[in-house]
Amino acid sequence: MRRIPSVLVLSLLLALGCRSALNEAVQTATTLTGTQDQAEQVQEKKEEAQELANALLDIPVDRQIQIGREMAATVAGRYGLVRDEALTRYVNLVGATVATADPRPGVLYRFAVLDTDEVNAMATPGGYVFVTRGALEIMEDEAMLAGVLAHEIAHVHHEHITREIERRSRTQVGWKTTKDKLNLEDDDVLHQVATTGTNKLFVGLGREDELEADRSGTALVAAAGYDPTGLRRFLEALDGDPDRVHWLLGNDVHPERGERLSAIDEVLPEVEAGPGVLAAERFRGRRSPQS
Amino acid sequence: MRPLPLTRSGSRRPLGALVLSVVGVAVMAVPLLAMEDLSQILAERVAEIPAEPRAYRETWMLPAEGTVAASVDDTEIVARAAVAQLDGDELVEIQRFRSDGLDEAATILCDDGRWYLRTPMADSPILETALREDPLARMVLAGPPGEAPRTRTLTDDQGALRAVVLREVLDHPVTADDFARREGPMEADEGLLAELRGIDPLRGDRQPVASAAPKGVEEIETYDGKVRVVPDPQGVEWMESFALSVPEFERFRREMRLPPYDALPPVTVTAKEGS
Repeated sequence: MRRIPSVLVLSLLLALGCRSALNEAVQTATTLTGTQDQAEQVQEKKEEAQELANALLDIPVDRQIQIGREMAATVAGRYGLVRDEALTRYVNLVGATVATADPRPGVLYRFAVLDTDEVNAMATPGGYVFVTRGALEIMEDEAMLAGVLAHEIAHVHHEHITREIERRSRTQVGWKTTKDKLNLEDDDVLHQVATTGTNKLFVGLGREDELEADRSGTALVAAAGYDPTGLRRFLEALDGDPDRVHWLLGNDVHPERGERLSAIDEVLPEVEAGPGVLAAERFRGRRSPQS
Repeated sequence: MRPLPLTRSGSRRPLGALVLSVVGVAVMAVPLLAMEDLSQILAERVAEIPAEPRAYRETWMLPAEGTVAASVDDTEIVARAAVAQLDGDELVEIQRFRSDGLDEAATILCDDGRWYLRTPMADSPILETALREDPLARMVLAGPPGEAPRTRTLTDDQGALRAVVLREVLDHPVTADDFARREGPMEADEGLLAELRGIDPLRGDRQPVASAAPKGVEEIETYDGKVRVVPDPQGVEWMESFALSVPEFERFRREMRLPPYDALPPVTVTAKEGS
């Protein structure tokens, strides 16, 4: 009789996060082995694996916030925050306006400006969103700022970083047997997980995640009432200075600018109910740090 | 998780939490009702409450006390009212704006034609409460419980602007639960009260989440290689200190006619930006 290495197959499938394939494997193993005992063993392994998969694939919101908060501390530590209350309040008002269009419950977004010439923006789980001083300098109106913040909010909404943490944690944290759980009550484990997320944040999310955030962000900013071309115009305004914008366009992980513009263009015809608000004058009056 | 307004499939239109009324967008002059007896206002209102389930929210903007407003931009946002209607019954929650936040909501219930003020303790006949003398409550209740334009302007007998009201039809499935008495005070994110506030991202009532203390210097992978970073948890605390108040947020959106204020007349000074 042909013997299926069921535990190995199940572990592999679980590592790939493939639940439907898991079910299929159980069915196949049952068919091929043809014995009730083996089927029960496979079923038992499946249930254990499923239990673990559920634990790993569903990091609770309060833990996401905790992880995101620690990641945010590292982001703030790397660049420093622009400690300008008027500017930070303004960015929070724009961000909150966009966030009202995000129907995801339970996220209280916080926004801050990073003190660097680098053109960048990033978000951590739980709603900590950053935009750099360098990015603000090349923007021309509030709709561009709203578009960039909407892109980051979309990352949070789609849980891109959280999903990446979950994928990597399976091989890095507490993954020795199916009995091990990702114990986020343990500060050391939480710290490891946050470090995993921070590394991914600074190395860059994947191409598909970026394109999804471009599409969703454009829809969000339009729903918030801003000119929906804000993000598109921001991408067009990037001057290609490799020291400032290399992370944004056409590197190992980010799509080329043309691909990103095409993704946005797919969405624009569906969301452009009108021109939307630019708020250029208000932006110019409030963009610069006061001190 | 609810989907974003538009997903990759591209099949959805932007919606947010609100479905804007399609009744009309024109500013409509409506003579302000004289301060008639509240019992008369309620008697007229109960006859007009639609039977079908529906909910809407109104933002009330009034001239500052003792002033005359030349335009909507001279008014202040003073209150929100959320209304749920079901089988001829009605729940009205009115929440006043302060300079830095919101007052407790006043909850008014119409049950089988009788009107009550609901408190955590009891439902009291409204005409036996201080609310019968409240000018704002009387204005809200004197408004049309049925169809109404997105924006209506209330004037006095001399034609002076007395109030501007924005109405948004809510995508809120009204059920008997909305009318049920709850034990204890209602949480800010429950039922109609959440719709009344209408600004989930500003909700400041979430319990703070303790964070594991960063472990000194971190070595972080970046696109450019490894870098050493000293985390700044105090920076995050500073970031978290920026709690926006509802009035500040509403003024910010109204200034540029961002939704729902896009239903108001264009901004006079910076008309280009509001368009």
